[in-house]
Formats: sequence, structure tokens, C-alpha cells
Amino acid sequence: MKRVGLGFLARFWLLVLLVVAWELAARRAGDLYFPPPTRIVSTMRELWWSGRPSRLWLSERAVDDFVPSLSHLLLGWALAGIVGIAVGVGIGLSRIAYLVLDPVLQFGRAVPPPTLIPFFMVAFGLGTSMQLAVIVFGVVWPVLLNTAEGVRAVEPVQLDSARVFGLGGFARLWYVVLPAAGPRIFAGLRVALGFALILMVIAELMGSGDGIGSRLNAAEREFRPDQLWAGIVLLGAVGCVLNGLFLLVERKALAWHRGARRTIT
Amino acid sequence: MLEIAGLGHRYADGHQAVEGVELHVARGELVSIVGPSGCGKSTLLRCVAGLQRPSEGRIAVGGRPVDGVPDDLAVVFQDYTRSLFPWLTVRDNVALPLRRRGLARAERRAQALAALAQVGLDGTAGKYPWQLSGGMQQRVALARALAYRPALLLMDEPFGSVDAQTREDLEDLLLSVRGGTDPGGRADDGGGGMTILLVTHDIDESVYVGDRVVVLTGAPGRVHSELRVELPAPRDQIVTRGLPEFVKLRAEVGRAVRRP
Amino acid sequence: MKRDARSGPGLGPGFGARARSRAGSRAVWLAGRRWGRALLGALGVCGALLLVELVARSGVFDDQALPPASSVLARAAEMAVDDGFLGDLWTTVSVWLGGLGLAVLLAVPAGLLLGSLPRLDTAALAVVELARPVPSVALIPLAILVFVEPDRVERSLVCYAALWPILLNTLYGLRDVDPVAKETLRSFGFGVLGVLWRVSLPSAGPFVVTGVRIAASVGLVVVVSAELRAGGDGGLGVYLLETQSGGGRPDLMVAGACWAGVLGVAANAGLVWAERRIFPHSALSARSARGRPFPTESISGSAAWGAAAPGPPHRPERPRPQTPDGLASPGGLKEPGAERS
Repeated sequence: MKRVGLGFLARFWLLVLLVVAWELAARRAGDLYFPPPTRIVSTMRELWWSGRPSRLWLSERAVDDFVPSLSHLLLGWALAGIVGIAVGVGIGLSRIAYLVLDPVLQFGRAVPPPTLIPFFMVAFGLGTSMQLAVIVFGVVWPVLLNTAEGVRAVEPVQLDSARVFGLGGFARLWYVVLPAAGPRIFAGLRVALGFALILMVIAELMGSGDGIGSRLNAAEREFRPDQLWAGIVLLGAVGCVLNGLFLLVERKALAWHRGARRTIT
Repeated sequence: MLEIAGLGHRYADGHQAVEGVELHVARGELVSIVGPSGCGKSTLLRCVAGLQRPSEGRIAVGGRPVDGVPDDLAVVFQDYTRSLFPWLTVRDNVALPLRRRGLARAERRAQALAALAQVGLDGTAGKYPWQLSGGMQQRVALARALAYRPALLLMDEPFGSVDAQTREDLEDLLLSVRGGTDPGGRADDGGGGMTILLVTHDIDESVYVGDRVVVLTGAPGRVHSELRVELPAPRDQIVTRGLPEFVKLRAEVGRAVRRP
Repeated sequence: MKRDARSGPGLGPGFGARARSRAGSRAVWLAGRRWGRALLGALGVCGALLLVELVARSGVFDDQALPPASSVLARAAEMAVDDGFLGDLWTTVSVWLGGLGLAVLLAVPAGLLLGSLPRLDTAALAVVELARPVPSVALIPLAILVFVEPDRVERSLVCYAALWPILLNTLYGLRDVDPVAKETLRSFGFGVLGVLWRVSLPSAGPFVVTGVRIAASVGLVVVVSAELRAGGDGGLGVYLLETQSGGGRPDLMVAGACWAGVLGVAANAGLVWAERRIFPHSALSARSARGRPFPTESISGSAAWGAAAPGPPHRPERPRPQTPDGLASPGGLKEPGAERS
């Protein structure tokens, strides 16, 4: 118990120190733009966690803000994940397809997705489909390229074993290629998740009637820096939680990989 | 069981790996193929396994010409760390190939456990391959091949990556399971044990486990000579290796391998 | 290891390898040659352009939704000699590079300082890991309130976004320094600064450059986002937004995005080149020959497997820098192929 406490202290003392310093400095300066952390937390409560306990204290506004944002984020990420894995496997399996498509993919990945927002606004109008298009276009690349690289790096001996023991094409894909590429696929999906959050925010900032991004827009219009800070902290927390959940799943799914790495090295 | 006639293979880069290889293996025979590295042993094995299409010649397994991987053939690769699937437990590694046999899940598992017991690995079924020692991993690979009940078992330097003691244990294990397996009681098999083709660069090993030793010399790989091994069964690491016949055979194979 | 002429790792027969056509075997032959690979890549580019052209002309989508490739290319070519667009592009580039440079000047010394003080670096990492998940684009409205002037908004946001990857990679890089080398130098009487200059910095260097590469692509995303949202008198984002509000010529907007892609490719290629030039012996340079940065930032706190869990100093395996898409493969990708004896 004491050990844990000391470890915690060694890791987080600076963080605590910084937050306390911020609190004191902000209180003293009284600057409108830089509210103290306690103020930010109370604004967050007021905005999103003032609801009834039966609804997990979530306020009406929280539901209005979180549901569209998170659903766009997760839907776009899932779509990109499916497309990225499917296409990535196809490209990874064929050396020729890889060579033919590589320059196109490299370029597609290099295009900063926000530059396409104006185009998507014209093509899809403002709203859900535009936001989804931005997210899907932006995050499909890490999944696709990681999958392709992962599939390309599958041990030839493993594939030979599978062939020798009579596993057909789809069995090989399911039991050998996908698990072997699994670590890379998960790495791609995790990066994609983080990137999806960024794109969700910028897409909402550029135009939408709901979501956390539009709450930020409103706070800017109403000149409420404390609400802006609340939104920023909230988005950071969303990022942490999503990443944490993903790591939980990844750890479960790739337990073999961690173990195998540990024994080999 | 296995007929190889006029086999030659030239890689896309022009390298001729094997040329004019003739080999006949009878049902139930254990033939060692020995040769220096680079003599095309592995190419030969890959061609027999149907992993690679030879550029010339004919291969038939059980009377059927090889086109793709033959149905009742299994391979034990040298590199157990790569040929086993680290994401599957030992039991699932052994059971996975049995899908092709059209068995129910429970039956596949039972057969896998039986094969593991056969190679002396009871109690490891729930572990992952990477939790086992090298020798044990190669036993898993052998169990996987045995559970599959192939008519023809190919072994590509199967004991090349383990230490000397383990190697001897595995050689004895191979000899013991070989007698004890009736390949699946499959109707078209007509009885008789498993036919085994074992590739090695270890001369002692080739003589110790083989009924016949085929010496391959490179490059390109050709059959240099064949020797029948008439050593009494059961073979024993100490007794057999001390026999004058063994010493004589070993010297003969050694001379053949070293001849340019 | 010589390779058999199989087409890559493939699933082998049953997945098309058996029924390979003549064209297929010719492609395999091409793939073995450098110019052949370039040709295949060019074929892919042409094919993709042709596909977009055909789909756009087929009328399945209206031409607002998908401009034909030919008109996008024509617009892009026109833009290359259009002073107005070039001015906007230059504004973006200068803000981008300015913010990036400032971030390097801040993050590298900070990383060196925090990383060399033993008790501080763990605690600093905790702070950095917590601050990183905040998507930097979420700061745009706040930055607009605080800084008002679009130029300053953009520059400060780029700097902020670029700070984290550089700082993090510097910290990880310093953790990777071989303790034996440090001890050796110290035993020869070199002081803390001498050790820092002679061992720590060169050995952490490749990590820092990788951090800059990631920061560059993150920075490009952020600068365009900030321009789109904050406006201002120039910049790629402003150009795109004006085009959009002024009637919306999709071919112009897509062409603008393509130029942004060219910027991204060029920046990455330049930094990969610099990395190999400055640290020719680094395993990292060899590995990142293809350099694959991806603007990630945010959640990818533990993007690369290796860097995620820096272990004790005597690890057998080097940690890899935080590559954004986790593509830092250990020891490079191998070319899978059939083995032979």
C-alpha cells in the first residue's frame, strides 16, 4: 500500500504541483481567460453533470452534446476500420497490388483531412454525412497502411504450415493472417481513434448544430472562456477514456503477443 | 508412396536448386536425406509438399501427382518458433489442422490431447507455445503432425534448432511414435506405418533414424548415392551408435557428403 | 535469402496464385526491378486518376460531389502559376514552419532538461501524457478569444500541437541512451554537460527528428484547421473557405487539398532525408527509410509498441520513437518470400 502511494507520488507530484500552482496563480491574477481549475470543474458540472442521479447526473445538455459527438466519432471510426482492414488485407496479400497502390495511398494519407472540409461541405452539405466523411477519410489511412504492413510481415513459415495442414484460403485468412497482423492492426486502430477525435472536433467547429464542438462555438460567441476550458478538459477526458477502453480490449485480444514478446526478448 | 522422377527446379532469378532428382520411397519407410547446406534439400521438400511447383519433373504421392498440397501430408519445419501459431494454445495449435478432417470440435480436441500425450506433453494443452522450451515446442509441432495422421510426413531439419541432449530425445521419440502410429485407419491406406522423409545435415542423425539414407550433393542438388541402413531395432542412442555397422555407414555417408 | 518468384506473402494457391495470368507474371518480373516498381506505382496513379475521371463522368454522382480528375489536375496546374494561390500557400507554409521551429526551440531544451534530471522525467512524462490527449483543434476557439489576431492564433496553435510529439520523443530518446557509454565518459572526467553533448544528444537525436517529423504533419493539420476556423487575410484554409462560400467550385477545392498533400509529402521526404543524412548509422534511419508519419497527436499516447513502455535501462531491445501510426516495425519489414536451402 505504501509502495503504491510512493509510486503514485513519484509519478504525479509534478502534475499536482502544476495544478495547485495554476489554481493559486489564476486566483491571484483573476484573469478572465485563464480561470482556476476549480472554476473549470464547477463549470463542467453546471454544464453537463447537473442532472438527476437516476441519469448518472447527466444533464439534458450533456445528452444533447455527447450523443451526436460520440456517435459520429465511433461510427466514423468503425466504418474506417472496416474499410481499412478489408482493403489493407487485400493490398498486403499481393505484392503487386502493394507496389501499384503505394504511391496513391502515400499521397492520400499526406492530404491533411481538414483541407477537404470545404469540399465535403459543398458535396454533402452541413451535417452528419459531412462529419462522417471527414472522419472516415482522415482515419482510414493509419488502419489501412498498418494492416497492409502487418499482413506483408506475416511469417512465411506460418503461412506454409497452414497450407501444408490443409487450411483453405479463408481459414488461412481467419486463423493465420489476421491474428498474425493483429498487433499492427490494433496499432492502426488506436492511432485512428485518436485522430477521429481531432477530426470530430474540427468538423463540428466548422459547422454543425449539435455536439461538443458546437458547444465550443457557442461559448466563443457568448464570450465564456470558462466554458471553453470546460470543453477542452472534457475532450481531453474523452480522449483518455476512449484510449483506455481501447487499450483494455487490445490487451485482452493481444495477450499472446505481449507474452510472446516478453519471452523472446 | 512417394515417386520423384527427373525433378528439377530453377528459381526465377536463374538459380538451379535441384536437377534430375530420382527418388522412390515405399510405404512405411523412413528415408533420411542428407547433404551439405545449399544442396537443395529444402527445395526438394517444398516441391514434395506442394508448396512450390517444380520447373521440371514429376512428383506423385500415393500414386497421385502433386498439384498443390497433397491431402494426407504433414510437415514439421525446423523453425518451431515460426511454424507454430503463438496466438493459439498448444491444444488449439494441434487441433487446428483437424478442421480439414471434418471432425467436430470435441473430437478435434480429444485427438489433439491424445497426440500431445503421445509425444509426452500431457498437461501443457492450455499453455501457449512460447511458454515452452524449444524442445517442447518441437514436440508440439510433431504432435500437430501426428494428430493430422498423414500418410507421408516430411521433416525439414526438425531437430536442427535444439540442443544435443534434446535432439537425441526427439530422435528416439520420432522412432517410437513412428511404430506406434497407424495413419488414421484410413481406408485407402492399406495399413502399414507412416512414411517419413526426413531432411537433415547431420550425418549421424540420418543414419540413426533412417531405414535408408539418400545423399544429396549440390549445387545444383543431385542424388549422389543411396545407402540401406540395416541396423537392428529397437535402436538405442548408446548401443546403436556403438555398433560397427553404424560406424561404417556413418563413414560412408560422410565420404559421400564431402565428395565434391 | 534469395526469393522465389511468388507474389509476396500471398495466401498461395487458392488465392489466385495458381491462376496467374501472363500479365501477372510480367508484373512479378517488373517488381524485381527498381524502375519496374516505379512503373507499377505510376500505373497505379494513372489508374486511380482514370477511375475518378470515369466515375465522375458517369453521372452517378452529380459533379458537385465528385469533380473529374482531369479538371482537378488542370486547376492544380493553373494554381501553380497563380500568384494569389501561391501567396496563400506561402502564408500557410510560413506559419507552419514558424510554429514548428518555435516548438523545436522550446521542446528540445525542455526535453533535455527534464530528461536528464532523474526524478523529474517520470513526473514530466505523466504531465505530458495527460496533456496530450487534448485535441489541439479544441483550443482553436479559446485561442481566437485570447489572441484575436488570426496569424497569432495559428502560429501559437501549431507551436502547441508540435510541442508534444517533440518533447515526448526527446524524453524517450534520453531514456534510451546507453548507460555504459555515459558511465564511460564520466569516468574520463567529463562533466554533466559534456556527457549530454557527446552521448545523450547524438543518441537521442534520431528520436528527436522522428518527433519533428510527426510534429510537422500534425502541425499541417492544425494550421489548416485554424485557418479554416479563424479566417485571416491569407492561407490555404482561407483560400479553400472563400472558394467554398463563393459558389463552391469542387475542382478548385480538391486541387487545393492536393497541394496541401504535396506539402505533406515534401515535408516528410525532407525530414526523412535529413534524418538519414544527420544520423546515417542509426538503425532508426534505416528503419524509417520509408518514413511514415501520420498526424496523430491526441490519444495515441502509446502509439508505438516499443516506446509505450520504457523499461529498465538494460533492455535488449531499443525502444522505438513514438511513431504516429505505430508503423515503426522492429528491424524493418522483411520481404516475405519462399525460402530455400
